[in-house]
Amino acid sequence: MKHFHRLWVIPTVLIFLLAACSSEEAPVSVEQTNETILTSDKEEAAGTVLIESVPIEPVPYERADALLDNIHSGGVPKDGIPSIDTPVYAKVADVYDDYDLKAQFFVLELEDAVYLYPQSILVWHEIVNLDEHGVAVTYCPLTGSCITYEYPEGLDTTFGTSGKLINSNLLMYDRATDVQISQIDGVGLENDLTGYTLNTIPTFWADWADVRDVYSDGLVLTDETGFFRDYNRDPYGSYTEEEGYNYYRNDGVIFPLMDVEQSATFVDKHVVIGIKEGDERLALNPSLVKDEDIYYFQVGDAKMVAAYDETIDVVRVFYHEGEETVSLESLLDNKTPNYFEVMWFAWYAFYPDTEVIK
Amino acid sequence: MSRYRNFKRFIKTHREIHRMAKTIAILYGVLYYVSAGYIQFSEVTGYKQLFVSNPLNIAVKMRAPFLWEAIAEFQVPPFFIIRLAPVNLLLMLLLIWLVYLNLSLFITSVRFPRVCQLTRNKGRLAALFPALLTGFSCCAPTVIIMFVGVLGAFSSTLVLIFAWLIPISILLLVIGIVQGLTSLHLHY
Repeated sequence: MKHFHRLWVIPTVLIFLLAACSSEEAPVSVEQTNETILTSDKEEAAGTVLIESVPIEPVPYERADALLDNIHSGGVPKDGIPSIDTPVYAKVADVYDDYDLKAQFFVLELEDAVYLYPQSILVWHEIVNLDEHGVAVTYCPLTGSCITYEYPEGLDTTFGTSGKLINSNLLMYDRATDVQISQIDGVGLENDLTGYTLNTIPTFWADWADVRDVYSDGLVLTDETGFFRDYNRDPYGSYTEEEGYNYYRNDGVIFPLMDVEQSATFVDKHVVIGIKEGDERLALNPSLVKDEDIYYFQVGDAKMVAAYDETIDVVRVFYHEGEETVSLESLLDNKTPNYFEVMWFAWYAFYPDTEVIK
Repeated sequence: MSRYRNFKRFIKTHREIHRMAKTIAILYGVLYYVSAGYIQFSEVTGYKQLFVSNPLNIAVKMRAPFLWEAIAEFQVPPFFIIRLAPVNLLLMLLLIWLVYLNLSLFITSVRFPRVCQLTRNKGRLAALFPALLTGFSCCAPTVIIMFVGVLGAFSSTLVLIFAWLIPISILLLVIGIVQGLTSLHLHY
């Protein structure tokens, strides 16, 4: 006890040593059981950027500089929001009563199965890498956008979070090339991936009350993520409750936007369906489609149709060349454009020249 | 260092100052750990313990400024979840020590104004202001989200400022100790 007063030196030195050693690219453990969390070889490699020779030629992208100039720190380090690299799933029947009926889920329909991602988990991780399918489910809570992207063609990669934002929107990075890609924009901003447009797969927001019955064979992402988080608490507010602080419902945006003059077409957090077709951009009000069931429109030269799917209360968008007397069922095999739900302020900040269907 | 040694001797002979400062400092440390999210109060049905298998890598993985990943979780019925984040535990110990010394000096300055010539107001500031900063850094995101409509463009600046609150608070606590010790007039 004589030298007890010197003990404070130990934690101080250790903290600074550990802080100095802290790696933003530290490997993460992912799979967990009731007693332990296991780590596979794959996870050991995750988070490490291995610059690959890229079989992709960069193409001119005139917006790249403007976007790069508008990057803001989100206050967290690279991969500080850890992506889920080995997702663990449960059957719907096994978690049937585990969620609030109004709990939000992201629905991804792939050939082998329908995957259901609880918003309450993705709000802490923002990216789920599905290596075996070559896609990543990405979610930005600040802009309310959930988009599933295919990895760049020919790259053995995964996506991570950069800790930065453009227009309050998640700035991802490709781990094979360390290239940054804005989630809403979905186009490579640097080096060999400059101008590379990621392909999307439609992903929908739906209530647990609907998806648990419609997709009774679906697979639900569990909270065995390899990280310890309070998955019962959403740090930004709540989609199920009106009371208390709530980023999703209040006015205001935390980070600066590229287009300062905001549009009054919708309130900031109103959700629109953003559609991209070539250089054309369109914001479609989903309420309109829900009222009309089927809605025909055009983006640039492309004819499209939006159909209300009442089974899970979502709007689906398809290319459509035929007659204007179709049902949702007859459209399901049609090709789909690049579209996703997003808060109006963010869509407008990226694309101020967007067309709007109110 | 001689002033520090003298002060330690002084505290040994005034155990009530030691006890009060120690109690408050430990309470402060626990509150810091709770506000950092490593102690959570939610319903737990049965005891469960979870560990990461690569603790050395995970323990030094920073999730936010001065917040590191936890390597274990203990779910204790009926409503405790305690997470073990080694680096933040060390940080908590450091904060407890610094707050303890600040409070000891503060109490001494209040109870023995002739021994410690810090004015009461200065003493209070030295002890309380850094402590507030540390606590505020953890609940800052909630505050920003609550008042984002009012804060407007200042919100993003606040996010960056909050990242520095813990190192600033540590610096201020150290300054408080140095200032307190230099104004001591103990004779042993």
